[in-house]
Amino acid sequence: MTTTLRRAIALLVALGVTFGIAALSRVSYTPEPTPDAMLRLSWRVPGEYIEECRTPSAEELARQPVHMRRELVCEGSLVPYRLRVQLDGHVVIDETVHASGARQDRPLYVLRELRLTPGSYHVDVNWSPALELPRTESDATPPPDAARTLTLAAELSLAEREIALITYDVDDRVLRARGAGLVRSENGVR
Amino acid sequence: MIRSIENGCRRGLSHVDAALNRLYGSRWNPVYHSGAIIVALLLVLLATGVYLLVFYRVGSPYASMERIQEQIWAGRWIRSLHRFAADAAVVAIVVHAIRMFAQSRSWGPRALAWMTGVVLTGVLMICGWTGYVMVWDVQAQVMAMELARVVDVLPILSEPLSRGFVGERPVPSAFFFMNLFLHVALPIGLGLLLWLHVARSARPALLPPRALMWGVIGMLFVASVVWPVALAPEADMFRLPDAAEYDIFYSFWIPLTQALSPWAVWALLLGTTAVLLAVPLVTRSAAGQKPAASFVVERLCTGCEQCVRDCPYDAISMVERIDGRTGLAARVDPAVCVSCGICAGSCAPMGVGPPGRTGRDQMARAREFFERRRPGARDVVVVGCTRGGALAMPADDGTAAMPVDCVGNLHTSVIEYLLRAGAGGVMVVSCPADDCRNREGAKWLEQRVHHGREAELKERVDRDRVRLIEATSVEGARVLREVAAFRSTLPEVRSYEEGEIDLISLCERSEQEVGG
Repeated sequence: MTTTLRRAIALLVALGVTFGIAALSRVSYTPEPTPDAMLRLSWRVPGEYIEECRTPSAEELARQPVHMRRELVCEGSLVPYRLRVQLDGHVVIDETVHASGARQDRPLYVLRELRLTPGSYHVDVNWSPALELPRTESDATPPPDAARTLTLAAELSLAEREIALITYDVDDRVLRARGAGLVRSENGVR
Repeated sequence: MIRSIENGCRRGLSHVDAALNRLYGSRWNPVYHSGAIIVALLLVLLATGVYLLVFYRVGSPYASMERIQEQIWAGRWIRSLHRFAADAAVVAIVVHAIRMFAQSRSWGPRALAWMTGVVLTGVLMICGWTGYVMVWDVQAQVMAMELARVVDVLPILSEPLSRGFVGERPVPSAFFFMNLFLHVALPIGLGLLLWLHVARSARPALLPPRALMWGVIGMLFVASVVWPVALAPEADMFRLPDAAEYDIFYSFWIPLTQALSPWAVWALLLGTTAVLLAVPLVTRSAAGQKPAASFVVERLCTGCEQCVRDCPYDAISMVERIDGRTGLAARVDPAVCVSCGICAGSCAPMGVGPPGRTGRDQMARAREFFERRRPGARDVVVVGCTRGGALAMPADDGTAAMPVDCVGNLHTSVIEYLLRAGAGGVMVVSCPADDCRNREGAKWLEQRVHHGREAELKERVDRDRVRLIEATSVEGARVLREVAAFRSTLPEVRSYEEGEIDLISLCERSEQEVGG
C-alpha cells in the first residue's frame, strides 16, 4: 500500500466515523407510533381538612408533662374525592382520590391520560367529596377552598395526536377544558 | 465465561488495532488514546458550552436556541460541535471501557479507576440529559416526560413530576434554571471524578498526542460546518410527539422506558449499574493465580530511586532502611502494586520485582532458554511480551521466542547475556507503546536500550544486534518478516569473546550474597 493510498484510506475512515457519529446524532424516531389522540386530566386542589376534636380527661392530662397539656386534642385528615369521568355516556374513570403524601396531608392531585381514536367526543367530569362533611353552626360560611363538587361537560373534536386537557382553574375554582380539540365546554360548582 | 468474553473482546480489538495501526501508525491510533480523547472532547464541550451559555435564556429557552441557530457564522456550527463532541465522548467511553475490560485492567488496584469510570459515565449521561432538555424541543419534551414518568413511581414525592409537563401551566423558568445549573455544575463534578479516576496512575496522559487531538477536533468541526444539526420543532404539550430527530447517544433509553414499566426500568438501570460496578470482582484472577506484588531486596537496593521514577502506578516510595545502613531504600506498597514488573527492568542490581520475575529470575530463565535452544551466530532470539505479536509467530520457522510478561519487565542484562552466550541478534517485540497493558513498559525499554535510562543496556553491547519492534497479537506473520529482515542485517563477526564478562557468575555471586 503506497503512502498516498494509506493516507487517503485513513482520511476516509476518519470521515466515515465522524459522519457516522453525526448521523447517529439525528436518528428519526417516532415516540408515539400510533396516531392516537388523548384526553388528559391533570389538576391539583388543596383539599378540605377535617378534624375531630375531643377534650382529654383529667387523668389523661395528668399523665402528660405540664408543657404538653392541651384543652383540645384534634386529629384530622384531608377529605378524599371521587372522580367520575364519562365519555359519550360510558364511565371510563370512577375512582376515589386520596390526599397525597405519606401521611395523606398533602394536596390532592389528579393525573390520568386516556388514549382515544381521533374523532368527536362528549365528556362529563364530576369531582365531588367522597364523604359527607360534618357541618356545624360555625361552618355556615365555608372557606374559599372548602370541599365542593365540580363538574365539567365538554364537546371535543380531536385530530390525530391532539391532546385535550381538563384541569382546575385556581382563580375561578372550576374545572376547565383546554386544547385545540375543544369545541365547547360548560363547568359547574355545587 | 467472563474469560471467554474477555478473550473474545481482546481478539476483536487486536484486529481493529492492527488495521488502525497500519492506517494511522501506533502513535496516532485513536483507539489507543480513547481515554485521553474523552478529556480533549470535554475541553471542546467546555469551550463551545461557554459560547452557547452567553446566548441561552432560561426564560425563553427555545427562542434563544432559535437565535443561536440563526447565527450562520458561529452559533449554528458551535452548537453542532458541542453536540458532536458530546456524542463522540460516548463513543470514546465505550471504546475505552471495552479496552480496559479486554486487557483485564479493571480489577485489583485498578478497580478504583474502573468504578470512577462507571460513575463518570453516569454523570456524563445526566449532564447530557440536562443539556438536551434545555433546548426544549420535541426531543427534550420526550426526554423530560419519560424520565419524570420513571421517577414518579418512587414513593419520594407527594406529587408526580410528570404534572409539570402536561400543559396545565407553562414549564417554569425555574426548571430551565435548574437544568442550566446542573449542566454547568456537573462538569465540575466530572473534573473531580476525573482526578480520582487517574489518581493511581503516575504521569497520566490526560491529552492525546497533539496531531491526533487536533485531528479529532478538526473532523468534528468539519461535520459541524458541513452537516450541522437542525433545531427540532418546539415542545408542544397539547400534541403527542410526532417523528423527530433524536440523538441516539443520549436518547437510546427512550424506547426502553416506553416499552417497560417504570419498575422494570429501575430494575434494568440498577442491574446494569451493578453489573458494571461488579466487573472488578468478576474479572479478577482467582486467588491462587493472583500476581503477587513486587518486593524489594533491601541489601541490593542502592537507593537510586529509579524504580520509584519508573513505576507507572506510584506504588514505590523511599523509606528509611532497616538493614543497618544509612540512607533510604525502596519499599513497594502491595495495595497499589499491579505486579506489572516494570521495576524489575529498572533496577540495575536486580533488587526489586515481582516474585519469579526479578532480573535474577529472568537471567536464570534466559540461561535455561539458551541451553535448551542453543541459538547460533546467525540466529535471532525473539523476546516478546506475552500479549504482543512475538508469541503469535508461525512456529515452523525455528526462530526461538522467549516470552516475558511485559517488555518493561525485561532487564537489559538478559539481552546482553543472550548475545554474549552466542545468539546472533535479539529482537524485542513489544505491544505498541501506547497500548502497553502496563502503561509505560515499551517506552521505558526503548529508553533503556537506546537512551541510557537506568538500568541501561551497556554501551559495550553492539546495537546492530539488538532491534526493538512493536506488534499486536495478530501480527505474528509481520514479526516473522521483521525477524528475517533483521537476520539479513546481522554483522558477520561476533562482537564478544567467550568469557569476556561472565554475567551469569556475576549474578550467582550476588545471589549467594543475598542468600547469605
